[in-house]
Amino acid sequence: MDIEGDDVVLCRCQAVGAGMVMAAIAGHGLVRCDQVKKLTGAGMGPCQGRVCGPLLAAALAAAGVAGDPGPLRVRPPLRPVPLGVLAAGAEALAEPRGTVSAKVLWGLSAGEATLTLEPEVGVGPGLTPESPAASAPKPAPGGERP
Amino acid sequence: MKAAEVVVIGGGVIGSAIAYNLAKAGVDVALCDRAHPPAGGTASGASAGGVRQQNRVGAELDLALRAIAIWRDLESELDADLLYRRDGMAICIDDERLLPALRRRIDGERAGGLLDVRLADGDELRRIVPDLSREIVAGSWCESDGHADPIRTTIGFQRAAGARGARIHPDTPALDVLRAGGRVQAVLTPQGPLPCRTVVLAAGPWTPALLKKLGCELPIRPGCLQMQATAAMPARLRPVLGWVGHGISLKQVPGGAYVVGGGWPGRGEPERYQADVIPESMRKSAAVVVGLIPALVGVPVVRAWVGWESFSEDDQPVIGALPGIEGVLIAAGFSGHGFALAPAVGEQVARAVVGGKIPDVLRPVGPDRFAASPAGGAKA
Repeated sequence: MDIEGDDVVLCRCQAVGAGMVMAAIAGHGLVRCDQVKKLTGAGMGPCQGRVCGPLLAAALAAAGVAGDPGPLRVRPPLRPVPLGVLAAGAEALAEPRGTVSAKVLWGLSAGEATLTLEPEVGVGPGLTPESPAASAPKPAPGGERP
Repeated sequence: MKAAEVVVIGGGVIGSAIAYNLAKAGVDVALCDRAHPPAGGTASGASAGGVRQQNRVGAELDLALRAIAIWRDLESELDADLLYRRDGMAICIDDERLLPALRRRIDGERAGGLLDVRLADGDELRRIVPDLSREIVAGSWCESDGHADPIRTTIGFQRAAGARGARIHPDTPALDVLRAGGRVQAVLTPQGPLPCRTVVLAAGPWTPALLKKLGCELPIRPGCLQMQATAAMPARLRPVLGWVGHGISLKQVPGGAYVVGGGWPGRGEPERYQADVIPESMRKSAAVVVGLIPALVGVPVVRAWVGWESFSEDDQPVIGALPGIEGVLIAAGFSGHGFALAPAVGEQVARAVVGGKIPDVLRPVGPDRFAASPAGGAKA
């Protein structure tokens, strides 16, 4: 596989080119896909590495890295969920037939459209309701104090 | 393993900044971390990246003022793009009854030397942030606050440390600090002892376990930070936003994503290095974002992540020499707001090691401020 220059895009969501990835691998001695993600931002976008994950592994192999490059860590919500849908999630999950309207803006060349979503369409498996005890977290008193 | 004068335990942004400043001062220093720093599931991996001075008290404000002076030239000093932006921060209120307390806070910070902070009314804040909710009635505005990328900053300090002769040991957990005759002899690792004369404990929530090996106890407990980020969007929000009582730190990073932190926690088992996202925290945090900037309602969240931070009993960092144990210093307990301070903490801790004397700015945050516990140290 020939992936040298930045004219080859490895991560479409974050617009990360092969040149940047190869330079990061060589310059930092990276051996795992997760390290490449942290340093270059590849795999942090809406597709969460579904497209670029295998390409990052291939880039590591092309750079002569032996051994298992490992997977990209799976992050909730597994697929993109508009903030407004997420915000309404607690109530929407309790009322599964309800719908949430949200203006959907997508990416840098954003068109604008209004979609009506069934909450369970947008709310991934990581967002099943919690037990009552765990369902009411408070902001940590010492978090980045607002 | 090759001996070093000083070993820093913990490759987060604090330990890395300390190692960098020691190397810069010509000290023979090694940094060890249990993973490949900045490791996943740690505070430096789940920091909101705020670089603010406001909303701090006492020694933290002094350190923040010094830190911002360093931040101004840090990217050229480290020869790294840290995505540092100094476009201000507003901490908003939605209730006029909070105004007196806000004024007192601002007056206190101005008296403490932060002259950039001032009161702004809702209309002025909406001129700065056009999409800000009509509910916001006022806020504190500090134009020299900002944000930076925590992972780039951590790696930037490490690489600059390495370029100045520091040895970085990834995948090297510190198991114990070996002492003999009241002196530090080595840091014990699975790869063998790493001989040294001075140790700096910068292992965040895993610091108390090392303290215990030294027969010492400090009121530092783990807390799980949770973050979420949206897809990349056109550049629109330049300052950092906070909202009193709502647990939010909101910013748009140069890549275009809105990054949300601020206090809605994750969970897990820090002793097993395991952390999980709390879905309800994602929802609450999203609701706060939409409450603060209603126009973001349709922006998709693409990922959430978590990391363990150390919180001290009084919400202030714990930095200084361990009482009664020669050759051991601590820099931990940053309580969720240490990232911005890292350049100044690195500078001052290096000064303490090199000069053999704790700098005045660090005296109020020393470990000796806590009442001596029964296990309080003096076993050396």
